[in-house]
Amino acid sequence: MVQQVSDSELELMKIVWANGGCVLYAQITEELAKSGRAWQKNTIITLLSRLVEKGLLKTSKIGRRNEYTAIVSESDYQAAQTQTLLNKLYEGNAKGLVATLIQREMLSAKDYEELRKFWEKERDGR
Amino acid sequence: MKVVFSLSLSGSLLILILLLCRPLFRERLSRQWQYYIWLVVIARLILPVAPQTSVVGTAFANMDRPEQTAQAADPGTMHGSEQVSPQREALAVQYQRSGENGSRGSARGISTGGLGERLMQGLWILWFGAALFLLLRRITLYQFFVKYVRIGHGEVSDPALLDRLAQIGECVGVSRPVELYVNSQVPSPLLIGFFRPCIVLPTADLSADDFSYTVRHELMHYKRKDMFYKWLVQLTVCLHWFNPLVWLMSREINRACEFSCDEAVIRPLGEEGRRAYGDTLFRAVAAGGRDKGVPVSVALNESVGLMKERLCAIMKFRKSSRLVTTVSVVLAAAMMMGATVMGAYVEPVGTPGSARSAQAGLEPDGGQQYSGTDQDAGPAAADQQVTDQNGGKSDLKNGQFGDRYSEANANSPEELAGQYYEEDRVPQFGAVFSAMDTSAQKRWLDKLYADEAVSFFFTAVDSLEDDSPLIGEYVERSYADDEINFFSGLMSNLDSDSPLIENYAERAYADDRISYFAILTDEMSADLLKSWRDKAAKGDMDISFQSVLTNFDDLTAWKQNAEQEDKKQYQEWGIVREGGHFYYQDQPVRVFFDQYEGEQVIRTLNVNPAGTVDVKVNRSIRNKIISVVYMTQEEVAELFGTEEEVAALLGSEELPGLDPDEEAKETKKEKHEAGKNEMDKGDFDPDDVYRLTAEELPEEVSAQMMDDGAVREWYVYHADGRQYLCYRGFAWSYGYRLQYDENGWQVDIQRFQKKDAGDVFLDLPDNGPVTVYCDGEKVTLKDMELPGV
Repeated sequence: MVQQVSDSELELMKIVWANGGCVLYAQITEELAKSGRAWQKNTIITLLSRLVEKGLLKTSKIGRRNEYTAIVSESDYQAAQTQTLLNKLYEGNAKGLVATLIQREMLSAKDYEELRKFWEKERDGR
Repeated sequence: MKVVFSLSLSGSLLILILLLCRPLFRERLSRQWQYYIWLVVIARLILPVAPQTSVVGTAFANMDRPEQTAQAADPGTMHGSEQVSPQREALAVQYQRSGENGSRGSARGISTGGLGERLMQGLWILWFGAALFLLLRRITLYQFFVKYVRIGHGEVSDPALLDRLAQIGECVGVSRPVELYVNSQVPSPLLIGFFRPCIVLPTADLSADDFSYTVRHELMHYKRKDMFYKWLVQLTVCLHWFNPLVWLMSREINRACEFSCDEAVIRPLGEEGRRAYGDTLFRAVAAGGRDKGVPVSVALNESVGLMKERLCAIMKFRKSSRLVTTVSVVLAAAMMMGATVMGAYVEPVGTPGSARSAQAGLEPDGGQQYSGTDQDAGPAAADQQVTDQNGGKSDLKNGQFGDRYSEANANSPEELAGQYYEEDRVPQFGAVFSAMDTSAQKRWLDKLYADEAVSFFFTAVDSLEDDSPLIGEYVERSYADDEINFFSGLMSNLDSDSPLIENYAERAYADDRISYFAILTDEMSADLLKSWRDKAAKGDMDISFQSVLTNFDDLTAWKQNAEQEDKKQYQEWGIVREGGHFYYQDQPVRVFFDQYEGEQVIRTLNVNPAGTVDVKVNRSIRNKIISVVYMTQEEVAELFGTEEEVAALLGSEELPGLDPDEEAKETKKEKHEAGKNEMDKGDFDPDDVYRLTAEELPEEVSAQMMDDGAVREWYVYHADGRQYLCYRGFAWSYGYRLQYDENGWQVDIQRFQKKDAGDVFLDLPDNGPVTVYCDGEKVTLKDMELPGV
């Protein structure tokens, strides 16, 4: 069970994932600066250490520099979050979720077609 | 065991000394000093000073001899090369030795009083057991508390708040990242964690100011390592659990900790910052309510009573001068000496002597501190000294005056007073009154009191010496006659430390005269007020009296503040008031006339026959001094009526330096010296600046503001040779200060109290650009020309 993280923490996780699941502190600040977030150093460190506490990251030292490695992959995290969403909103019924997506046109016909193909391949593969 | 007792005893003496001397240094020395000085006491309490050969061993060997059982550690063993060993080690040693001793004692024979030894051992086990129990309990309680706080926490994940925290950390000097939690269960903001600091707030929903000051306060605790200090105190309390003075000390340290932390926070802040910080504390009281008995943690808000005292301290804060610093160092050194001396002679029989010697050691410094701080405390203390001197001198002056008067052979002051009284000329009356002798003064006061001529009465009282017995007499009369007007007026003329206030507070309380009591609370010194509050806090007080006791802090502080401001302004213009008389550029002033210009309202009129110059102060209706000039003979005459009257009152000699040319020169020079003041700018007129309401704002300006959608932004609109500084939605009550120089107008806005709504509209002459500072920070202005004007 993946613990809930705040939006700002998720922001950091995304940076870690986008960099192959393993980043140096300096890379994080760089990425943050690119997206226009000039957070204070201690803010970032606090958020990172919360992520470590929640078991999403681990730290290791390379010389004097801290390296942060994702323990949970992005897809695992998405899966876990989706599961939570399903349980919370649809009582575990995935059909309901898909129905909502299609009804509200969050899922286009093209997307749906692609997904169908993907699913058929998966099924055949098994 | 003896070691523990002896340490406790010598520590207690130090505690007593500090507590007893506290009234002497409380307002004079920095709170920092008052906080850290306790470290000396703690060191005395927990560090056994021991010689190389184990002190405990020798002590216990001595204990075997029954004739010495009554004594504590052998003084001989305490002498010599002193080596400090931490208490714990000593305990460990003690423990081992006691084991050995037990066997040795029994081996050596029952004849040498094994009973005493057994008793001591019993005591020792009792002491050690209790200390251990207490300490473990403290620790588990704390751990439980931390757990409880962490379980209920929510992390603050708003990066903006975290950023502010980091910035403040940088500013305070805490580079380590600090965790920020919110837990609605905690009664007040607090700090937990020794190495991974964590601030827990009851709520993150605070205004920017409140958040910043709260965090600043907690970070300051962290920076100063207050939690280590607190635990050191806890350890001491646990070891000396049998000593009530040590518990008292722990309470004192907790209070001193908050005071000194406040001091450290406000030290770099300006006047407004301090006020804002006070506001934060104040709101914390309102929101947090009472302390729920939080175990060792560094809480921002401990109890309402303490909080009020802290508010007072913040308002009174002043930076310590080098002299105070020196005195502090000397006193601290004396304290340490005392600690060493006492520790070295620990011995129940000898302690009274050693205490005396230690106190004697302290006393010379104590004296030094007195004289030193009196000088330093500056205006307030100096005032008092001079008042005393003047008490002696003024008789002399009166004597001189009498001579002069008989030579002049004109109307007597009493006759003049009668004339002024008839003509309803209050200030002139006051001036003549001060020249009367005591019996005449008494006659007049009686008359005024009977006539209920309140304004005359108080002008008269104002010119009496502070310690005049007449004041006490009329206080008593008005109290007995139930003349509350007179009573309150008389009280407000007294110094806050006058014994009259204390006495009448007791009486009013005993007589159940609450309105009198309320008047007195208004005038009380902080200490006295506090003692009443403490009484109220204990709950043995009538509820209506209790209600009177709340809420006055701020008032007293504001009043003091206003007095300070007044003094400061005078000083900037070279005027000093000492012992009831005024001095202008170090010359005694004969006629001192302070008036509101244009309004013809007299603010102060003071006459000192011994003065050498006549001075007139003009001030704007905003109470700002505009100019200080020498008065001409004619002006003086005009003020008092005819020239003969002046002669009668002041003596007839011409004053030197009143030749008009010279006067002009002098005035100019004065203006130049007071370069800070804006007066030599021809086009600066603070009276030409108006604070407008939304209705008073010219229509074209308000219309334009609507068009611009100008809300919560600073705008300047120019119209018809005026400029309007506008800010809609300024939800604060505010004050402003003006300055004008070659760079144009500088407007300092100070925010006071949060309101529901409000605006700033200032109407200034359009003769220079406007710069606006709000609470000391420069704001961005949009400068708009009105179209079509």
